[in-house]
Amino acid sequence: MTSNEPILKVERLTKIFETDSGRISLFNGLCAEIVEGEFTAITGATGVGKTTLVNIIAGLERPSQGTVTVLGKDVTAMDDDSLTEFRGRNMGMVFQGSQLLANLNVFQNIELPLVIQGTDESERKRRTQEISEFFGLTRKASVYPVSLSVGERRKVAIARALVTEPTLLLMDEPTGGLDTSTVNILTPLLRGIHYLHKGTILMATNSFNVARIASREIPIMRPRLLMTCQL
Amino acid sequence: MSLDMNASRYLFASFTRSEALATTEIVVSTAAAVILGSSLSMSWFSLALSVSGLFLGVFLVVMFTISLQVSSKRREVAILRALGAKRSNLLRAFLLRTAYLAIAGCVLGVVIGYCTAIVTAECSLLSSEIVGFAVAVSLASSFGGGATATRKLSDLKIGEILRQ
Repeated sequence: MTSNEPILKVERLTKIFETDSGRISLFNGLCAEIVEGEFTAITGATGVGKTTLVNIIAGLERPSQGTVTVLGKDVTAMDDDSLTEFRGRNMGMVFQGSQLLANLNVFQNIELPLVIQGTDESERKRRTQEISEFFGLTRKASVYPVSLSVGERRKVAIARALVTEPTLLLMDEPTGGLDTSTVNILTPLLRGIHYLHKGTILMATNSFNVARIASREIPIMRPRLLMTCQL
Repeated sequence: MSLDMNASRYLFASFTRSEALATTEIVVSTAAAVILGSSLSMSWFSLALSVSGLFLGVFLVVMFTISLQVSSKRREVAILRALGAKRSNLLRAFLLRTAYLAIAGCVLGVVIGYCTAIVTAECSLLSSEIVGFAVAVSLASSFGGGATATRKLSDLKIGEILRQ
C-alpha cells in the first residue's frame, strides 16, 4: 500500500441506538479517510459517540448504515472469526480504562496479543522486553495490575497495543480519568509513540490539549457531524 | 502451550465455590451410579429412573456453574476477543475447565462408589461394565451441561462490555 492510499476509509457511517427516550442517531453519514502514518484525533464532548466510532472501526460493534474499510477490507462485511483474526493482526487497541487482565502480571499482559497470535516464545519475550523498556516498565514486569497506579496501567495498555507492531493503532481516551500530572507525563509519551510506531494512529479524546499532539483532528458533534466529507 | 490452555489459565485463576459444588455433584452421582448399578435389590426400571435423576442433576449443576463463569468472566472474555482470540479458543477454554471438573469428579466418584460397593454385601453385581457406564454417563452429562452454558459466549457484545 502506498502512502497516499487511505489506511482507513469511513463512508456514510450512521449508528442508531434505541433508548427508552427514543432513537439516537450518531455520526449521521460520517465520511472520513486517514492515510498511512497519520496521527488523527477524534474529538468531541462526552456522549457524542467517540468510543462507538473506535469500536466500529475495530469491528467490535456494527454500524446501522455505512461501511468502514481498513487496509482495503470492509470490516463491516466480515464474519466474526475473520474479523477477530484481522483485528489481531493489523490493529492495536487501547481501551477506555486500560482493561488489563487482573490475574496476569505486567509482562504477561503486554505479551498477551503475541500469545494469541501464536508468536514463538523467544520472539515474544524479545518484543515484550523491548517495549517494556521503552515504557520504563521493566522493573514492574512481575507486578500485577492491582498494584499499579492508573497512569502505569495506561502505559501497560499502550505497550500491549504496540507489541504486535500494528498497522493501525486505535486509542480510546488514553488520558481519560487521569490527573493533570499523569496527563503531562503521558502526553509526550503519546507523541513519542508516533515516532516509534511510525504507523497510523487514531485517538479518541475529549481533551483538546491532548488532541493537539495529533497531526489532524476530526471533531464530532451531535446531532450532526462538523467535518468535511473528503471522499 | 496452546492458546486454549493459556486462555484457560487467563480466565480461571482459582477454584471457585460453584466449581466445588459441581465437582461434588459429579462425585456423588458417579459414586451413586456405581453403587446402584451393582445392587441386587434394584429393578431395571428403578435403576434407570434413579440414574437419570442423578445425571440430570449433574447436567443442571454443571450448566449453572459454567454459565455463572461465562457471566462473571465477561470482561476477560471481551478483552481476549478484542485482542484477537477467536470464539472457538474461548469455547475450548471453558470446555477444558469443564473437563477438569468432570474428570476429577468421575475419578473420585468411581473410587468412592467402588470401595462402597465392595464392602456392601448387596452390591455383588459390581463389574467393569457398570463402572464404565457410570463414568460414560457422568462425563456425557457434565459436557452436555458445559456445552449448553458456553452458548452464552456467542451473545456477548464485546464493545458494550469494554465500555462499562
